[in-house]
Amino acid sequence: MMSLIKINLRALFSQMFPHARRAKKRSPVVAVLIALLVVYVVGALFMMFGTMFYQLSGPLFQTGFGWFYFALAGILVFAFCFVGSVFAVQAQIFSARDNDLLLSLPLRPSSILLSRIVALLMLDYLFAAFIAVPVFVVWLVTQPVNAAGVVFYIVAMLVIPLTSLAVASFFAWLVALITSRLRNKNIFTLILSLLFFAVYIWFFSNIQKNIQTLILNSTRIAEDLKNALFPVYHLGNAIASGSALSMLIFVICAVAPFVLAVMVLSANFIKIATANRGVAKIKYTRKALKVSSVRAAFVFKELRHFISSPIYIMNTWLGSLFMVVGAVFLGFKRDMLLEITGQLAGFGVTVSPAALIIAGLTAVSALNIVSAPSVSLEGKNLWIARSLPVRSFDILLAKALMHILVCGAPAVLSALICAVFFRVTVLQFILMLCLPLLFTVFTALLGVAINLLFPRLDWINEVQPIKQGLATILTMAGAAAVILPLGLLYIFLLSRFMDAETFLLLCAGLIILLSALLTAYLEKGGSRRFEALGSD
Amino acid sequence: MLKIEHLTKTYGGKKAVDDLSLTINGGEICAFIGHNGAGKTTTIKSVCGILQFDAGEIYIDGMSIRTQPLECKRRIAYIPDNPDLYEFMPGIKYLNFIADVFGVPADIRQERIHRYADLFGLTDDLAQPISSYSHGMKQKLAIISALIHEPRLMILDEPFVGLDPVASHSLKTIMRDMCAGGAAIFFSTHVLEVAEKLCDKVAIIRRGKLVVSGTMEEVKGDSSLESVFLELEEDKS
Repeated sequence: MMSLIKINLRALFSQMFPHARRAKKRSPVVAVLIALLVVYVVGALFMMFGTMFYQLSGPLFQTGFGWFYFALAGILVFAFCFVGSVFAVQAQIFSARDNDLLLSLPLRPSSILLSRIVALLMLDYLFAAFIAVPVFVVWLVTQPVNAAGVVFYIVAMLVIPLTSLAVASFFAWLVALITSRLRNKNIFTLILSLLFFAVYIWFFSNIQKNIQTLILNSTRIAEDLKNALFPVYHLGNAIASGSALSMLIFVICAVAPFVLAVMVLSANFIKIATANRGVAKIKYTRKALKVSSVRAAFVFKELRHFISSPIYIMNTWLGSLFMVVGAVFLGFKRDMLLEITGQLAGFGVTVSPAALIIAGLTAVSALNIVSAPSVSLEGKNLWIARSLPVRSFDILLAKALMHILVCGAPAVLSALICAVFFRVTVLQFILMLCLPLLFTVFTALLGVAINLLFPRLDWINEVQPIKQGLATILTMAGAAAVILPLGLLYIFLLSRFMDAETFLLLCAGLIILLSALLTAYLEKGGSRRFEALGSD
Repeated sequence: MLKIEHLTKTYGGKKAVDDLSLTINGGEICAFIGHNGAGKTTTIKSVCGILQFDAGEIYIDGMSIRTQPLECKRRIAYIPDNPDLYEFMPGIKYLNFIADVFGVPADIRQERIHRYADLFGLTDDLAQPISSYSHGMKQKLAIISALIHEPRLMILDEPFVGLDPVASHSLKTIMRDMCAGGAAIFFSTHVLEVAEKLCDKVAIIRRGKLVVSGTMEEVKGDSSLESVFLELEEDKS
């Protein structure tokens, strides 16, 4: 049982933090960078939740709604655990690939299930800590604390992930059920991921506004919550007033769904583990096959890979989504743009709204890193490209072309939207159309080049090269390293000597030059690197 | 058709293939035999231009894989030991992709794909994504993709693993037909009975070195290939 838990934990954490498995191979510089990144992320989350609850603690405790402080913390822990682990629950319980192997071993099905649940709980406790720790610290610092409250707080934070896991299991079962009946399960997963992302963006972009709303309407919201979600009230009340009865009521309400979920899953585990999740078979009908050139064939192959993977789209293409949404948003919020140009004029920098849009679209296009994991994504399939009679340069170029295709179209669309909403000159229109497109070409080539320098072919799950590959981080940093200095150079120096449009024209020239250099690298050194991949 | 001269390939200071020389002519089937880790796959991947090697030379139809890789690869078909294919593609798209790369005309690719898919019983599954295929189905798809451009040299790494008896028989028939048409086949296997029945030539590799090569009769004489192989293993250990 312990071995199973350890294996499941290792699988979960290696999926989330794959670098941890290769600690011995990592260079000290990379190790320090990763450590700094972890400290930054943990610190940022602690700061964010700490600040949020610091703002809430005063008004809530002073007005006698101390329980609401803990109730909110409980709701947030529940939501954070749910969002953080729902896909892991689906992968571990409903879509686990090693069920056949484990069921063939002399193990009780309940032990297999329990080991998975314990591993998932550990993951949930990690997520819970991101909120529970800063909330506790703020409470200690700002309010008088009693021993019973502290004990109840710890118990509550240990119990909430149980409820979250129960709800996540139900949701994951629902997702598994729906996707097993869908032919285009990728689209469903993509829509679901986008929904989660939209909620996430909405929450964090409105966090200050939400806190203010909470403070202003705390009495009404607290009363509503007390009536609608009485276990949450008892959670808060138990900690705030040290009521053992409230604690008992909360624990019973929180643990019951978990017990129920474990019972249902245990009773049906073999059915779940051996369920045939294959969709209805698509029978092949003979029809004329489309003939393409070698280069087009490779571009289509890259494109097919991209559109077949929601993870690939979500993690590398969001810049394009932001670009189109931003263009529409700016169209309706023209005043905001005029305000920014006015503020810049105050600093002696004269920029037209159109020039600001061009710079903005170009900067957002730097967020697209579609080509950055493309070499790594060859993974075990690298033999196909390497054994075919195709120039390595053509293979690499196809990767860049796919990036240009999927990111270039939204860039053009965004430019057209902006051109409709804002009055622009011919030169501004050409720049609006070309500069983001040129930068897309540059980023596409840069991504391939960097991935050749930092390939990762030994992945098990494609999440690893896409989300955690060094190439994706470096490509984004590389694109920013070109954009930011140019922006600062103009604002602080060149704006005195030339207008923004002339500067943007010079930028276009520079990007063309950099792209030409990258193309030359891909043709010579990059191709040699590609040919040597896997030969060491 | 295939000439390997003094091939040497090192991994981190360890010689995986050591001064290996071998020739296979058109119309010949050559089995490549050796224990696990002997250097078979490294040799095969070097021949196909997948791996870069440290020393020696490999000629395909008289052309060097180092200096004329594209010309060589146009004549080769390679089937790996593990058919890792593009899982995000349906089978038919993968076959069409390979046909595009080799520039096979539309009518010819259509006829070949359907002929071999029918032969291997894969036609109904061609619209399915490769991710839904079993190991055997992937192996069949890899074989069909290797046959689309009618290669002059077919290189196979453990081709019979995962194939059902009917598909196995079909592959053997195809191999014989190809050789009858002048093509050469070089394949690794652990199934010595198949090698003995199917091949004109045999090459035995041990710890990166070629220990025996020649016609099947020369190598096994009156004995069986299995006895020869086991004797060689015992002698060297």
